[in-house]
Amino acid sequence: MGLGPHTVGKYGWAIENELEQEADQWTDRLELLYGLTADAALTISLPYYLSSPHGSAGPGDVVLRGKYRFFRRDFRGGSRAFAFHLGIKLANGNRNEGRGTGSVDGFAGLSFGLETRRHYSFAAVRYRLNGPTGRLNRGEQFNLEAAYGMRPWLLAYHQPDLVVLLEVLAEHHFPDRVRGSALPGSEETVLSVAPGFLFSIRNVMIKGGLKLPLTSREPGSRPGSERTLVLAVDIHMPPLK
Amino acid sequence: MKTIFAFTLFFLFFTTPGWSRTDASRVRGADTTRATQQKVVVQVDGLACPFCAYGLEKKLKRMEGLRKLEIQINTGQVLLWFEPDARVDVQAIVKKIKEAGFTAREITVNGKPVTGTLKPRREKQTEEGLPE
Repeated sequence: MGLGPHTVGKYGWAIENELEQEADQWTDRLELLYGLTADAALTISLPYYLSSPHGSAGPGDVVLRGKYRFFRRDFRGGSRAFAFHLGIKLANGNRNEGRGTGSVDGFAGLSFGLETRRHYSFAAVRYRLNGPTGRLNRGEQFNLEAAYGMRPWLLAYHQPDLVVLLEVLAEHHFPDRVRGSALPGSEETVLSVAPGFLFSIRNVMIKGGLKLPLTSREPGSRPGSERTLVLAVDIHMPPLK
Repeated sequence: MKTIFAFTLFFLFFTTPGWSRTDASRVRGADTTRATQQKVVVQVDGLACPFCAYGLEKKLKRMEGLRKLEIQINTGQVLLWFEPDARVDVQAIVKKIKEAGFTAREITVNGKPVTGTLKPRREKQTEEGLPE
C-alpha cells in the first residue's frame, strides 16, 4: 500500500491492475510503469470506479507519478536504496458523482528500501498538497509508512516466491479551510496496520493487503479512513530493448 | 540352447547400428559441447527477489551467441553459456546488468577471472556467504 524504491530497469515496463474496496466503493486501477533508466521510472495510474459513494461507475482522477532512485548500494544477495517520488493527480473525474476531488493535487515523497533474500523492508514519507475545490481548500496530508516482510521459503529462481508483509501507516490530515478559516473537526490523524503478501512466479506478482485503521475518529469521513482491501496483479513485461 | 539364444540377443543388441551409433554420438556430442562452449559466471550484487530478476534475464537473453542462461538467485550468480565461436563481450554483459538495476562484480570466462571492468565491492562479505 505504501511507496517503495523499486524500479523496473532501463526500458523495462510493467502493467498492474489493482482492485480496491473501501466500504461500498470498489475501484479498479490500471497502472502502466516504464523505466527511463535503471533508477528512474514513470507511472500512469488510471482508476475506474466500479461503484462510488453516489453509485455511479466511471473513470476517476488520473495520477502521474515519477520515481528517481538517487542512492543504491547493491551487495551480495540484496540492496538498499533511497528514492525520491513526485506525483500529480489530475481533476478529470466527476466530483459530483464521487469519482474525483475536482482539484489538481500534487505530492512529493522519499522512500527507503532494504531487501535481502530473507528480509524485505521499506519506509516512506509523503506530503500531499491538495488544490482548491471551489471555495473549499482541502487540507494538506502527511503520510508516514513502514513495512517489514520476510520470505518463509527461499526457493530457486523459477519457483514461486512468497513475502509476508506487515505495514504500519500514519496519515495526518491538516484542517480543511473555507475562505481561510479552518473547518472544525476536519483535522485528523489516522493510524493503520496492514497485513499483506506478495506472491510471484517469474514475472507475475499477486499482491494483497488489508488496511485496518486503528484510530480513525469518524470512519468514512474521508478516503482511507475505513477498512480497505487491496488485491493486485503486477506483470513485468520483457524490456523494450 | 538357452545360452546360445541369450548370447545371440546380447550380440544383436550391441551390434545393431542404430543403438550403437546413437549412444556413441550422444557421448561424443556431450563431450564436444562441454569442451568448446564458453561459460561465463557473473556474481551479481542486488539480486534478492526473483520477480525483480526477470528484466535481467530478458536483457541477457538477447545477447548474441547465447546458448543458455541460468540465474541462481540464492547465490547471486548468473551463468551464461555462449556458442563456441561467439565473441563474449564482458563489457556488454556488465552494461546489461547495470541497465537492469543490478551490479556486476566478479566475472569469470571459462574459469578465468576478468578484471578491469568491474567496481570493487565496498563492504566486506562474510565468510558464511549471503546475508539474510
